[in-house]
Amino acid sequence: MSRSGRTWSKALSGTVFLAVVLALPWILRPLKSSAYWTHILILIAIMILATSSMRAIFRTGELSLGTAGFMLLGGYCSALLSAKVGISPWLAMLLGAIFTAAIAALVAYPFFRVKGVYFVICTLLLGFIFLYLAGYLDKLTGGWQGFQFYHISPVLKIGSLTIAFTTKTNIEYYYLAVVVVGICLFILHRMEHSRVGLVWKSIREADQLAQSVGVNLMAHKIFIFVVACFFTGVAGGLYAFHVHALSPTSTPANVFHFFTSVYCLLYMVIGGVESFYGPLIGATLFMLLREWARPLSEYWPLVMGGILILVVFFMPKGLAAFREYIPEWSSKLRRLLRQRPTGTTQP
Amino acid sequence: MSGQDVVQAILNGLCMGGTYILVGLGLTLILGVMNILQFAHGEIYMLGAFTVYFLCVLKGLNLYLAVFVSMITTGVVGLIIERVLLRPLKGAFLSYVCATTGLSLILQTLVLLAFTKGTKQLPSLWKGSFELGGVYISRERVIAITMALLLTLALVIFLRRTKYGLAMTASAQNREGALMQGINPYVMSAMVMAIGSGLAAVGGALGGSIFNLDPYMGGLAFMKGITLIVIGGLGSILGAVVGGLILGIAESLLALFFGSQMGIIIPLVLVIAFLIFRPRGLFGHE
Repeated sequence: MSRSGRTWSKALSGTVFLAVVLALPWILRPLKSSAYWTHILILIAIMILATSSMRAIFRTGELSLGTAGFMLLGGYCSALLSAKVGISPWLAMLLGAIFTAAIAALVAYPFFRVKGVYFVICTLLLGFIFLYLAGYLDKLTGGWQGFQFYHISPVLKIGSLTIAFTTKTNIEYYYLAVVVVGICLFILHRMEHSRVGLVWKSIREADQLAQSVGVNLMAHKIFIFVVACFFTGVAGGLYAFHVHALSPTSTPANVFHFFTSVYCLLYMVIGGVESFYGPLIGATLFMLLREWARPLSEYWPLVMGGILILVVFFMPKGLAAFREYIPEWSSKLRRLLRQRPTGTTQP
Repeated sequence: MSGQDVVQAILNGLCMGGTYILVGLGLTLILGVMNILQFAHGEIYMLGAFTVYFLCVLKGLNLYLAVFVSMITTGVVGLIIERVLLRPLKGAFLSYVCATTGLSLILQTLVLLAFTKGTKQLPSLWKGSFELGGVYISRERVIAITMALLLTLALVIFLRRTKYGLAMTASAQNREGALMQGINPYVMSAMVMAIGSGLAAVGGALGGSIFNLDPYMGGLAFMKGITLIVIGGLGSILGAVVGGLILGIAESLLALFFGSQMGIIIPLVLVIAFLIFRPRGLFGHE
């Protein structure tokens, strides 16, 4: 295909994708449970953002399992700011994300002094610390009972037009989530495909070599960590104003529990770490599958774990690169079929 | 709050440290020899506890025999995990993380589905308690710490005095160097998984006789295991023992003074501080 042809097909598929995303709530509209499905779509958008942030940090070769903890920070901070201080939800969401980024900046320097598995341990434990702190500081956060603020929703006023992003039909909130997540993903995408993105890749591939040609490893790692945590905070804020009830309980059903970090890891790996669209594919596919498999919800972690292991073994580049596996698998299959019965040796 | 309470808390913490040590030893051995963090180690601990529950409460086997059988079977499970799951993955760090996390999800769900819901507890290893000058120590906790220390002693003797133990130590210190002396790293990995899993199973049995059993109990145990090996020093047996005892005592004292929440939070902060400022811990080398 010629270069312009490729650009055209890219633009066309992008437009179709965008149109489908924007039209989805109206397609679902005739369904009796349309509000519920829109709610699921919003959650998918939020998880896509969280997973993409995790992937952005992983571009430098470090795996952060603190996603759930940073989502909790962003969610609680924006919820408390708007419900207790009385700031407008828009500003509260922004401040919540900034607060998350600030905490991330605070811990980033010491954390990046260690690498590999030790960095994973640090971020994992940090997530637990946030969870327990949210339960412990009960004067501020409402403790284990959780924190509810059903009366507050973001409201947009343009001239005489007023849009309230309430949970009645979820459609308004869906558009809000899509726009916010879209902007965040766009920024992440641009960063990854800029010079900075190449530097991250060089850090992941050969950090000492990168350092020897003058890359400041620490500065780059801290930068991407803070940016990614900002977006994780945004995801937490979006979640808070959608669900209106936050809790620090340590049950797997709680979105701020460590399990969410594991699920993000899962979406990222299954979708494909190498591709920017991996988290989109992974999160969308698996959260939809999970809804579809609602009657089997007890078995769901089993299915997820099994799929994760299978993907690690057979599709190490994830679903996003499925086209690369077809020749590999077919040649394997052919070899298998060609194999002589036992007794004869292969050359 | 009297001095008696403090002594009581210290003694309770010391005994809790026993179960933590057993989890931490496996983690630290696996980390040393295979250079991976076994994310499913907490689930192995849980599996050990549930095996004892199955054998002892449901099938009526003698408790101590059940603990022994659980140790063996869980060790075999560890062996199988190494052979089937971890050995073929000669790859990147992410694939190990994914494989072991996937395994932990699978084990949790399998146990959740295999057993009926409701509170489960293992029978007490030794009923009643000792009284020393107004301080009570339940006998099962004494058993817990004694068993933990005995098993650690056995492990140390194995590592220092036997051919295979020395080979394992060599492999942990320098994999390539050991390979050149004819030590097969895969055999060492299999052995370390079997031993670590067996120890975790005993830890699960001891923990299960003090707390309730539930399929998610492994997460907390895993966290304690990480905490103590980081405090004690990665790869050090002595460090794991001392770290476990310190963690147990610190936890119960902090819980006494600041409430049980702080008893969980402060050790976690401590671990992060240790990892950053003193990555080799109290007894680690390098």
